[in-house]
Amino acid sequence: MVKRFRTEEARLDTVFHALSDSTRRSILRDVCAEEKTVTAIAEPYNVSLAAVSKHLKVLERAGLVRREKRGSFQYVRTNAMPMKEAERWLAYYEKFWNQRLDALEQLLDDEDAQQSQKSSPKQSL
Amino acid sequence: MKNAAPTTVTVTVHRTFKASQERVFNAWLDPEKARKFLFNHHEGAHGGQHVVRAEIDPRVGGKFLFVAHRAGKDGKESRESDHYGEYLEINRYSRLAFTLMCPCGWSETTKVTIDFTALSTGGCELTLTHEGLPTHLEGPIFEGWTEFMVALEKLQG
Repeated sequence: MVKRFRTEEARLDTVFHALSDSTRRSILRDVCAEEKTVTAIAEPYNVSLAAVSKHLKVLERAGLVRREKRGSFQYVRTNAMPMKEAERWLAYYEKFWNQRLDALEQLLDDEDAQQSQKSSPKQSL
Repeated sequence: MKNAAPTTVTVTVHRTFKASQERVFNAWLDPEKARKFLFNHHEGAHGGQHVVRAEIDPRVGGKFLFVAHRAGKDGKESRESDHYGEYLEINRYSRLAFTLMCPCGWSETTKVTIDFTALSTGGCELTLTHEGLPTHLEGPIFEGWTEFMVALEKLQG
């Protein structure tokens, strides 16, 4: 269990590192919409092909993008399945509301506790 | 990769309360209570927020507004975020429906419907449905968050 946890944590670190750079986030956004060649990815940025290639390697290591060689071109695309991503969003919003409902439950419980204290001030554990 | 991701999602959550249907319903329309449980939290994509202003006009067509402060990346900076909307249905004590906007995260109008059912135990059951939720969050607060959601997919393996 501990080992598994550490592996997960190491993967998270790689992903966070990959996302910590604004150029890489921007590249990820670009290839999320459609697959692109390395040259097409480099075009909007004022950096060398080598620099873009380095960014792509970081994203690839984090498992965020995949490179595929076809003919003389290298195509880059995002490595996530759209349907599963929607499920992930659902889980995110579900968590938000469940936390809100936890807070509401706590608020009402606190009111009950205060009420019972008021009605029997001398009673204590 | 054949199926395109839906642009919005609908989420439904259920909860059983010990408190009565009337009490649970009223908490949603009471500014002092709503400000404590609704948009006041310590976790999230952006590190938590606390409500500094809560206004509720509890009638159909009436509006509500919650202004919250969010901690910045350095833990000091405070950014304001608004949540507001309009009540579409107020059926005491069984149903509450309202639109919900959060311009700091999305531009869509989302809709929340909450059904309250009394239980024989004296408590109540709540079912909340939130429709029209975006699968892309925008704005400085959520910078990188959409990419992170994609990234989480990989972490699950």
